[in-house]
Amino acid sequence: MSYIGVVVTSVFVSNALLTYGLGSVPGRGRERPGSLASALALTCVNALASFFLWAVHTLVLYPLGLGALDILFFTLLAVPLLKFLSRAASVPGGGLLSRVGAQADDLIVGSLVFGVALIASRGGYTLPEGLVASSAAGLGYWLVSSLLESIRERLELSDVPGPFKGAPAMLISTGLMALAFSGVDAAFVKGLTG
Amino acid sequence: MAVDKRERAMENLAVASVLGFLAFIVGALSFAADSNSIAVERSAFDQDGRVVALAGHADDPAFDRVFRIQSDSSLAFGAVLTFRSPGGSALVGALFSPNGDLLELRLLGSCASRLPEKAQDLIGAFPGAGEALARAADRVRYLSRASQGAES
Amino acid sequence: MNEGRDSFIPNPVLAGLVGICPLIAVSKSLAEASVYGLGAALCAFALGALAPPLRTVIADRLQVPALLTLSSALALIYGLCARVYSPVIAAGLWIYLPLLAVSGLSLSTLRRSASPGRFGPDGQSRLGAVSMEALMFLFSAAFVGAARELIGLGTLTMPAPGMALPRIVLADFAPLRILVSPAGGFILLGFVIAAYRAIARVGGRKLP
Repeated sequence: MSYIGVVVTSVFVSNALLTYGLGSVPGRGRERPGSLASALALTCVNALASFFLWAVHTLVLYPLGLGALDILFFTLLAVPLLKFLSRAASVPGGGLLSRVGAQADDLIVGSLVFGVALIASRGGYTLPEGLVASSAAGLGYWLVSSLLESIRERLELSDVPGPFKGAPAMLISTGLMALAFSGVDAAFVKGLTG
Repeated sequence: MAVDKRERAMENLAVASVLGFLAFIVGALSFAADSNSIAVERSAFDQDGRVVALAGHADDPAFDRVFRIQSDSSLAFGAVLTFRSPGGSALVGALFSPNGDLLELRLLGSCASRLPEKAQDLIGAFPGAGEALARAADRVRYLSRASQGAES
Repeated sequence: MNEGRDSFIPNPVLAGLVGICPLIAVSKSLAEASVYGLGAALCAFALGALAPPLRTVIADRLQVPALLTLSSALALIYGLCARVYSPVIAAGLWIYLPLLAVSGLSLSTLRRSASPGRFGPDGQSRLGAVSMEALMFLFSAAFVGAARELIGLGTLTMPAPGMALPRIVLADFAPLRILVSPAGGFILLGFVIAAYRAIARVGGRKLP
């Protein structure tokens, strides 16, 4: 598949939140879901995490027959490194970079980053494809969370029945959005993008 | 100050050693689990002939190993494929000829997917089935991609 | 809100939204949801038992990476056991077994273990609270998995060992196939949480 096809598939067909259910709990992080800092943090953290996990899995563990231990070494080695990088970036007064670093720091230990990294390393991708797929997965998550944020704001102003207020209404809205995204067919994308 | 640094270094070393030991234990368990998986996959091809050897490993999302199977008259290759779709999953035993032609698909087990039990129906359930592909690896990759869009 | 101690225990999934991240993806069958739920429960219980004593011996700056690595190791051990128990269920769960390392239940247990003492502010044992939460998670996961598979496909796949999983077929056709897709999972979970809240309100308790 071409890189454009990988991007479109990762954003729409295999969306991290709507297809794999990763990162479903809203409200994490200090940034508003639709902000540029949030988008950059999601893209960068996912790409870096996927790179580390792919490298550990493919270059070190799999040749030794220890491919199943990738997540252990990822937690031991890559997570502290990612935390260090995000804290180095989040210097006070650093503007956009600081906000990206702060947001990234909140994202690192979570099912979204771990899950996308696992999909990129175990999904049969080469390294460039994995990096593109994981960055696009972050972008797809950002897109969906921005849309859900707008829906959440509207739901707060609407007259929703008591038991459905908050999480139930959001989950049902997320399901309807997943239904819409599932209309993008993988074969159609492959035919269109090559 | 020097004592603090030394203490910190010793603490780091102690924790790293314990975690390394934990990784060793998990690694040993993973070897044991792999042996069990190999035995289970070999048994899936018992009816096709004598499984002579493990032909190779693969870092593929659909399959982990390929076996060489010797029957009285011919040589074949077998792989246990994992088909995952949003609705369910299945383990399928696939038999190939040495030049990559698909000989048989056999449903070994499924979870929440209403896949057909019979081999012919299983082959027919996937789009583009029956196309000629030269190499077994291409065939298996095709099947694994087909499984992404397979209806459960 | 309740005053004093009573016997009502909020469900961590349906009230606290703990661990719903991958639950929607894995709960497409009773078998997968049960195995995943059991894994999350066992990992959380083990962390709840091991993390407090470990926190007393590990330096503050090393606690988070050490406990996260422990969580990963527990998740991997469970994943390997699940693969031996039933290769087809483990294959279906794919990345979600390693993701037990950062499941909501494990992370909330780790956060809870940061508070000192064996007893919480309500006088209840912390390990007891973790155990109850873990058990509730297992039941919730199995319930959602059974509901999705039953209404979605008309079958119930049992979490049995081996390759061939026994299946109870209750309908010749799939009544509402959409429910086994992720979209259906989100929608069903939304309705289940709403129903849980409505029932809790009838019982006189207001949940967040």
